[in-house]
Amino acid sequence: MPGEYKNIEINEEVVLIGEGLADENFFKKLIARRPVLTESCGANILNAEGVTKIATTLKGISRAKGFRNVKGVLIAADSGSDPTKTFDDICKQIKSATGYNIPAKPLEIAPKTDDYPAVAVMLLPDENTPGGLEALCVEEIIQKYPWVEDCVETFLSCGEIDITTWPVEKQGKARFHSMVAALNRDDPSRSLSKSFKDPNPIIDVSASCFDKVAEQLKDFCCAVRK
Amino acid sequence: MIESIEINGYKCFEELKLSGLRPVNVLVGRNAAGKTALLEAIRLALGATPTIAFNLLAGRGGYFPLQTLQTPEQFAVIWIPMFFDFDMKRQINFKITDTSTQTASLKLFFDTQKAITLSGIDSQDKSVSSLVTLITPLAFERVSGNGKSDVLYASVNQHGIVFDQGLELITSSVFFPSNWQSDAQVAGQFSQLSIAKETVDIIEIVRSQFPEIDELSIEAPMGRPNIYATTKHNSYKLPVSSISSGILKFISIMTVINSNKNGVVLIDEIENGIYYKIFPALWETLHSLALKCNTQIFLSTHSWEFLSASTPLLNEFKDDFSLIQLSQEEGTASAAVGRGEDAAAAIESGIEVRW
Repeated sequence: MPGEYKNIEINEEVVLIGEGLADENFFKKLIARRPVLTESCGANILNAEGVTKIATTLKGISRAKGFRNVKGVLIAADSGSDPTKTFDDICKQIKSATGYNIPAKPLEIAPKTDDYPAVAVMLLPDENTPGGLEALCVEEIIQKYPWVEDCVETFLSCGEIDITTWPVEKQGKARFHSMVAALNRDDPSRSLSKSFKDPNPIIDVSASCFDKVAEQLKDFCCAVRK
Repeated sequence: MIESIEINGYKCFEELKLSGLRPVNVLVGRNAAGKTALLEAIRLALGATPTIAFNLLAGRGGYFPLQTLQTPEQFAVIWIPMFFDFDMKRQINFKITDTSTQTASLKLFFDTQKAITLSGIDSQDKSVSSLVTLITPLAFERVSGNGKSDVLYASVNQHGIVFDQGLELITSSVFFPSNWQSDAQVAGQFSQLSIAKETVDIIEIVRSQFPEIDELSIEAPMGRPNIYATTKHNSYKLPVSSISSGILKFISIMTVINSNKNGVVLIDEIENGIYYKIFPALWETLHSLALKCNTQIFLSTHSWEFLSASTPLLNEFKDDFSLIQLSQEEGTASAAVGRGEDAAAAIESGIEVRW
């Protein structure tokens, strides 16, 4: 809801803007569960409520009290079906927010200006692979439950279903939700965002498939704090 | 329209410069951040007369009997709250630049060259005594946009405090304090607008927002004019103040803006007394009247609901709004002026803008 009162304050040197609630919850859990990030990467993690609203959040944080102390803004988004196009679209939004420098490629840190902090864009599962956060989560589930992969692939190619014709990021979502349904008797419809918040989360962010993301986040935090 | 303002040494502002001001400027900040002080500073800088300075101080709850012979201490205690750090040896300076780059200035200082010697009244037995007091008058050194200068004084004589009178320096302005009550002056302005047939829009807006109201008029059954309403449910006209203080405030704001064409209207805690569902209409009205009347508006608010109701306008009319965020540390206030569209983005994102 526009203007919903959330009382978001900026009080860290790093702001991480995720495209949705799932990203927000994922990164909060990632930082909390990995001591190396907890120590090096205190960050305000915000949810843009949609990949097209990143510019709104970028503009909005400039009116927060702690903005002058922010050294870097990291934007995290799904690669989608075309990582290059997704990156370009995000850069257009950075430009429209006015004031920030614009990175030339994913993970490159565009330097700070007099009034605005440094900016970088991180794509998930990575900068070269179409998909989204679900692709990493599927990888983690398969590590824990290898048998579920064949079951889900069989289901997703059953009858007239032909998932291979779907956009890549939609395939990842279908696989993730099928696995969640199969593995959660108590809550088969659990969402991705809730999967990180439960007391016993389905997804373990300590798993090795999230190491690269954690490393990129740590590198960003260390670089902008220099 | 004011484009920028500089304030030095006034109340909590040791040194403040605001630029990028717009037709509608929204002030936010916690209690004692300096919102009211900034509105008062603008009112004082625009008018630049001793009477305005005195009325602003009295409006904050000060009790200053004018007809009593003043001791230097009594005279000083009136003006002390205006001075940063309560240091009356400092000067207070205002500089206002408008969009045509004309700059006007006001300097306030105690003019020791004009010190006045008075024989006083003994405060113990009220008899005229041979006590002699030396009172230093407060000078208002004014320079208008076209370079003309003069000095007005707040001083004393045997009858009490006296103020030099003068025209307002830059433009007419009106200050609505947070505890504003309807006064006859607004009723008079409404009457003048009515004579010029300029109340049609006001009445139309009131009818659309408050369907129980049919017609507005000025009546003075006891000799004092008030805004009255004909309602759908009563056979008698009623003072609007007896129907709703919020409706009266809405009407008064519209009246004052209409009556201050090419001027400035300053409204403290605008949301007080107004139902939240009216906020979008209030924003629409403020914006449209500000443009139509070329009246610049400065308003303060604590209300998230009120700010939230502004976002459609802030996004659509990017150049018409600014957000002035005030904060105070160790007795010194500071402020930052932001673009209206950034304010809208922050509010839409749930980011706290009221520092």
